[in-house]
Amino acid sequence: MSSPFIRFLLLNFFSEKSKQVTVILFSIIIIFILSSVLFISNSMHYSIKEALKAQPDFVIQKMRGDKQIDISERVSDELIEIPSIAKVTPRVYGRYFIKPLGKSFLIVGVDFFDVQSHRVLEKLIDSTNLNNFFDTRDNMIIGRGVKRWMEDNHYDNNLTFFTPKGKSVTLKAFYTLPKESELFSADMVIVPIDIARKILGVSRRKVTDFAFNVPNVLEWEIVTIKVSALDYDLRVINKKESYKAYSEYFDFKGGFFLSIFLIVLVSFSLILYQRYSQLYSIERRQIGILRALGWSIKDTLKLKFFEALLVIFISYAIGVLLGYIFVYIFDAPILKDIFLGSFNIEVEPTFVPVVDIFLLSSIFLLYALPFIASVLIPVWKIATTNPKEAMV
Amino acid sequence: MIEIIELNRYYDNQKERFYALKDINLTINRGEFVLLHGVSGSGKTTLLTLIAGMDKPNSGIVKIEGEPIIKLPDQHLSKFRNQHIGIIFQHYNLLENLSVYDNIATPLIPMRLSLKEIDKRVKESLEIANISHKANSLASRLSGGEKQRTAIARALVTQASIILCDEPTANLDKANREMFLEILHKLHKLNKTIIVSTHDPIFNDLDYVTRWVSIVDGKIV
Amino acid sequence: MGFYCGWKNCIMNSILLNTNIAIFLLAEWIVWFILFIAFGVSIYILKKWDFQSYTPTQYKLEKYAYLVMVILVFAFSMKFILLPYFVFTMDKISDIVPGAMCSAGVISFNHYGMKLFFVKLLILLLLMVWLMINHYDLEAKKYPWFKLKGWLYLVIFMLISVELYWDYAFFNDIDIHKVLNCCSTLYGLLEGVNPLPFGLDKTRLLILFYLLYLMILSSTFSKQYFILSIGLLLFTIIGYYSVLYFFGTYIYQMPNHNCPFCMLQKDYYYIGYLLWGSFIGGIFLGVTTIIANLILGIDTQKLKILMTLLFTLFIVICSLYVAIYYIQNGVFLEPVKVEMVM
Repeated sequence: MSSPFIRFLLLNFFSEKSKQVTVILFSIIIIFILSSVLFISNSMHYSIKEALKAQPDFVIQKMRGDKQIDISERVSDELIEIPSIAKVTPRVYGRYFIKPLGKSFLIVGVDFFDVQSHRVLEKLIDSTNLNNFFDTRDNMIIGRGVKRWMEDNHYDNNLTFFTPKGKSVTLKAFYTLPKESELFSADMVIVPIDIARKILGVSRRKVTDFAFNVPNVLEWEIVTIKVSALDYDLRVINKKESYKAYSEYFDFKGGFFLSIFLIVLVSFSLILYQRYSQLYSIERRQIGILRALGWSIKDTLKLKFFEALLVIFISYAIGVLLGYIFVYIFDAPILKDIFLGSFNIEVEPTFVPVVDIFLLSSIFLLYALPFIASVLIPVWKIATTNPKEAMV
Repeated sequence: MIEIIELNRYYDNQKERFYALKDINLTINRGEFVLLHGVSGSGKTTLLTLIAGMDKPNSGIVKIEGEPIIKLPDQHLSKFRNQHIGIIFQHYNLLENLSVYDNIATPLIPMRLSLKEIDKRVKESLEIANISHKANSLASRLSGGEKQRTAIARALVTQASIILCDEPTANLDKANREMFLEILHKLHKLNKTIIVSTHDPIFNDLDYVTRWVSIVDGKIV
Repeated sequence: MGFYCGWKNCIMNSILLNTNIAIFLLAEWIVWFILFIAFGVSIYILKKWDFQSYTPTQYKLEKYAYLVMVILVFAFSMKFILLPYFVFTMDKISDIVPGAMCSAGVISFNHYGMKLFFVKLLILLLLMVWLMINHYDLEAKKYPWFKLKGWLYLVIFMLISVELYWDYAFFNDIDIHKVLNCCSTLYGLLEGVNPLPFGLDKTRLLILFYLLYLMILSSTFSKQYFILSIGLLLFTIIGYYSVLYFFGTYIYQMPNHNCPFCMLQKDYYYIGYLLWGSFIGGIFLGVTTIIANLILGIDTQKLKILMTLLFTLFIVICSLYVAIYYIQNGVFLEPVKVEMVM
């Protein structure tokens, strides 16, 4: 493609902007919505993955019917016996219901001596704060959703919990978890493990569940079978399944959105086809002149297709940029509720910018491919105009 | 040299076959100035479009410089037309949204020349056609005479050896017609083969016309 | 072919709702549909084509031939984008498939995977050949290869239809609750077993690798196309195994990591795309050059130069990784004997 050709293409294109404006505007809106949704989805997948990195590979729970119940600490001794399992971490956590809201906080107990919990927590706050946290017994680390709830209900820095035994435990908010982790930590209240036991009524010899790692992925299946064999009512959950569950949840939402988008896409394709077919009568004289002057069909095809590609490129660039700003700078107001609507406590997440070539290709394939497919035939028809048209 | 042998162009409608051109035989040598005479609808424009390869006949041969152009695939035919034939249309056929300069440069784009070479050729054509002062004006803002001169410059810019003119003076006033004839004479002196289809009497008195060809009802008389 | 096993899986797998898979399948459908239109037009053109004729129909057919060309250029461009997109997609779903660390595990999940991948490569090659034939057919004055093009397109369309079915069947058959093998199982070195072809050892493999490269270059520019064909065929095999069992280990800096797909991931700066892209691109251009010269009788300088550049790029990337490793560490990688986990 020579530079005189490019010059001609640009001159011709920009001298007839009005022809292209409607298509470009529609395209920008479509790409904007599409890229916003994909940016949010990508960002959430990334956040889930990052959060899960710090999670243990396996979690063992005891079930009665379909309800989870506390599990005896002795199970840990049996788990240690299984080769491939190095260290087993007991965990204490549970939901504490706030009556006025009908919602709940997630109480998470942290053992000072436990490295695993430390690693998780260190992802959320720095180590100096962590040491100070364990110094006194009445501190809690809260998620941003909890903080907002406290402010809305005019609690100062303290919150009182009532234990199943009727006693009260008052805790001071020591630290609020950062925005980046809000997706998972919005409703969290992190306390020392014995405080968690008190609030949740978990006895000394029991825990909520056990967590451990199995570094060799190929051994996961064997480990699952062996652990399940220990007791009939043990449930074994591995990290990939958690990720799968979240993925399926977001994929479901994504799939729902995609089906709606497909309808929009089909309509857009039909509009495009019609619009470009309409242009035929206007443009055939221009093409007839070019053909009469010695432009071949290949040359006129190149001209018309590059014009269409310019429309695509301009719309794509602006649409993606707007989508980026909307999601990563303004945190996608309104749209985020579609993805996050069913969370326990109101979540106001920050979306981590995750833009890779795969994502950009996805947007391109969803927009540009149907676009080009719709205009292929009308553009061919225009470009193959007989030069005789110039004599009319 | 242009050779036309047994050329036929007809259109079939429901009842009959209408011959726009019938059994045309014609040879035009290099450097000739040929006038195609005839009333409207006699077939002059059809003959020009067939010589330019812009239309396909139903039978017959058109050879230009020994090359039979009718059955050439589009890529070759377009290239041939681009390099050997310049056309001046009755209604000028300029690209109204572009400037005079860009209109004249348009036929050079398929030639894959550099911007520098294009600029040189466009400027030469602007000079010959006496329209340099309007190079940056939009084609839509030109007068009839200026448009015609732009069309001439565009027909010359590819250094084509054959110039075809279809009713070139039909929309011009007297002064512009005379200016047009002067330019045409200049081109003829450059040994270009010129074929003009017209029924304008201003051409009758030209002494450099080498041949008059009369066409009546699609036949040469 | 498919109806029995397709019927078994007729309830749609929820994995098809995965955004990237849905986009991929939608794109494949659209491309197939447009090609279906070209298929109909091609049949019509092939039936009625008579270049010597002066009829309006013949002139119309010449215009329709451009429609087929335009559609095929579109299809080639899209298939070119969709192939790495397919690989990317498999890489992404390896996160939710137990056992899989990269596309290697996913692609070998069921019997559709590898044959689907090879059909995609074959289609790209045939599209490239078609575009080359079309280019020279248009440049000639009498469309000498028009019918050849037409029949080739029919073959391409059949393959693309098979590909579309296999696309759907492949993804639909993926069970995300079943543990897969990862690349160490698929490509790993079993003790006592030599995975290299023709009983070669690593030294001879490498000597052959570089020799074949030189052989390809010299036979190309001395127009010995028969020798070039042999060279290309051997280089395809030797090149593949060299990357897998030697050069790849320098990319991963792990002597027993023999995966062709892991190097496509972000961790390795996506170098796999450039490496395999230049390798496969070079082979495709080589095949196209041979066809142009032996079947069409046309000497294609541009294709030869492009092929040379791609193969050279491939050789340079491979060699650079080894050289850089050696410069940094002062030694070459030594393989470690590995026992397979049973």
